[in-house]
Amino acid sequence: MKVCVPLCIALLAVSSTAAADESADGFARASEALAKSDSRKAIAELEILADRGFLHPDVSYDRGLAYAMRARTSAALPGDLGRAAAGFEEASRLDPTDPDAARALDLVRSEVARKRSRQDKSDVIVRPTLDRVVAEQLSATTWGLAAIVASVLMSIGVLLRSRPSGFMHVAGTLIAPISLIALLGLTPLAYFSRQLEETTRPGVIVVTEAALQDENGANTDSPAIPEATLVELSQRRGDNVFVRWGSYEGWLPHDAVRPLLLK
Amino acid sequence: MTPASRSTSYAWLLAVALLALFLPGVARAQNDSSYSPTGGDDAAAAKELAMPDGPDDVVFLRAIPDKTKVVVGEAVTVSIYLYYRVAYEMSERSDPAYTGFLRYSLLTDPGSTSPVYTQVKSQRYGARLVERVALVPLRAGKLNTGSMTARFKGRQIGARVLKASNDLTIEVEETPAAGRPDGYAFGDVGQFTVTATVKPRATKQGGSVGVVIKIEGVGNPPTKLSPPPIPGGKWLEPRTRDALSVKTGKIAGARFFEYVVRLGNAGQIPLGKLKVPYFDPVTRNYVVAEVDLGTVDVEEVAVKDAEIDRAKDKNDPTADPLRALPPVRTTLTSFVPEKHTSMPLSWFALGLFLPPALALFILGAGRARKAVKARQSTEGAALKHKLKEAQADAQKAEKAADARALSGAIERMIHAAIEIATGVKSRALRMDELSQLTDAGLAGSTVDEVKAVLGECDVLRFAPNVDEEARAGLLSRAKALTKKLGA
Repeated sequence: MKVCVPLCIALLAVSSTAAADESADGFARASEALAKSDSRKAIAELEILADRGFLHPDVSYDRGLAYAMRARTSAALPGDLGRAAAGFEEASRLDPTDPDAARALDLVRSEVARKRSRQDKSDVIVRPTLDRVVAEQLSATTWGLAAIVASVLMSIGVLLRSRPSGFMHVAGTLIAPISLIALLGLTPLAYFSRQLEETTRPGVIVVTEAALQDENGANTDSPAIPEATLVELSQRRGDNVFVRWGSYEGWLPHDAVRPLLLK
Repeated sequence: MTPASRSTSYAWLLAVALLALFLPGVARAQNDSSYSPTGGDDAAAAKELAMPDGPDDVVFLRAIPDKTKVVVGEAVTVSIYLYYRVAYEMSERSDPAYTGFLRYSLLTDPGSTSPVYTQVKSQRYGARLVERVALVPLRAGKLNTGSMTARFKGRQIGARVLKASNDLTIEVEETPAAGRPDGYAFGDVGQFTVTATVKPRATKQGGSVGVVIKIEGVGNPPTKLSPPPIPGGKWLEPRTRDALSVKTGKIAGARFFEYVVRLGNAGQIPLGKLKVPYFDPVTRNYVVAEVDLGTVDVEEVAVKDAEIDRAKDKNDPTADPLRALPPVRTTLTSFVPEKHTSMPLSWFALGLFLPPALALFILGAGRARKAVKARQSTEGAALKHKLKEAQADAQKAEKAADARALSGAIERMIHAAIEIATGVKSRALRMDELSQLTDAGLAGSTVDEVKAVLGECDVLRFAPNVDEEARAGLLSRAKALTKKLGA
């Protein structure tokens, strides 16, 4: 038994090192293929890395680049620009300081817009709803901590207010109601943000355009979602996934959307 | 009956008789299943089906083609007859494979055919048509139809005897190369006429018109057409619809090609002439059927922004935004994935509810302490008042030399002082139980003094004569004791 535990640890360490080396080799092969403009081979290598769950902004970036490269060739497949946008979006989220990924993402989206305008398709500007905008400003943990701080301040304020008179009493009279209001706002926000983090994940549309459907499979009144659009994915049922785009909600075939690999 | 009505009755009878003669002929003509190779003439059919050197079997199947040499696409009619001269039961019938042929069944109800009586080796046989198909060969070469098989049962036949028809070999040739027109496709064999309908004849630039081509006739109509090119226009993929049927043992009818033509140029746009080449098996010549599709009035519309953009993009290769994509990354930079640690819900709830709960507890505890203090101060004041009253009573009793009243007042003084000092209601204690006061915090000497004073009070209460000095001494001792008790 005494021998087994260190042996297992050693085996685990060796296997994880081997997996990391293999991933690095795969990336090297992919970047070599990209340098030779062999987008097909590069995509194959980078998709293997993605399937293994290898998380790295450079891998996501090169994957986006490979799809964008293929989209410009005659071997382009429908949805390549969407897949390119997914790669760049992923890279940009993994490393928010990466200017190249953000620029490449803008270029891909402008190419999609250009293509759609050439087809006389006008796109509706859909913005996220206010609850999402507010909740996504900070992480769920930060909102939770803020709510706890408000709770502590309110408690201190109540204690200070119980003093018969003087500066402490005045301070308590001010702090208690202000922190109560903050607590009433922050608690549901923290809970909602937590729910969002746990039940939803971002995804990108990887078909030329997608139409949201209701429970019965009929098209909803939402406009068609253009390729490369960032959407919010939640529950999956069969081959369909529930998608929220701005204030529009509905079901899409799961292969019409690529979820971003962020954790 | 009047002569007029009699003549009317005769007219009706005549009409019914004529109908009775005419209707079976009509029915036979309409029902293809009763069609015989000689057009319904039983005697001629019997002659045609006769076999001077046929098999000796009492039951057998025979396949007869209408021709054995055709070109690709030219239909061959194969009829399969069942010859019999004894009663039989047929089962497990299996049709020929017809490999290499496109098959159209000509017999809608094989069970309804009536037999023709003929001669096989001078013996009388019944010959019943069990299958008739039109076969369109799809390739050149010697193609075999395969055999029809069935099992027969009968007194003179046996049980489940398998019989098979003869396997026909059809020699299929390609249509002659000489004079073969452009656009001819192998298999387009028959005699056809081509008509076209174009609707509407006027549209806007970029709009569409519908063109329906109808190819009608006998034979195997073309499956694909080559529409004429239109300047600035485009023929979209057609929808094909068949209305083919069997007429007098041949495939006939019409095939429709429904096209949508998109017209990009304005003006009087000629749609051109549509040519349909086919091979006529009767004349053994190629024929090119033509139909003029006429012109369409296309109204000019303003150029759209998107079209201008498209034209610009076509001429400007730098318009592609993906040209400016950043370079490939060849090495993995160091990256530590951000750990997403979310606060457990229980911690969140604890952090949220614990501070207010603590604050409420602190407030509550403070208030409780104040209440106890207030209560204690109220009780203490009452006892002090009681002590003062007792002291005053003792002074009065001492002046009045009332020993009994004095002893009572002193006892009240002592008990009040004890209660103030310890909180113990000592009046309820017997003399021997007063030592418990040491547990309440009094010194032993003080307790002894209490006992002594209270004992003297008892003595004073029941003594008949007590001098003034003893009364005054007891009062002063009691006062000293109350001071000692801190009351």
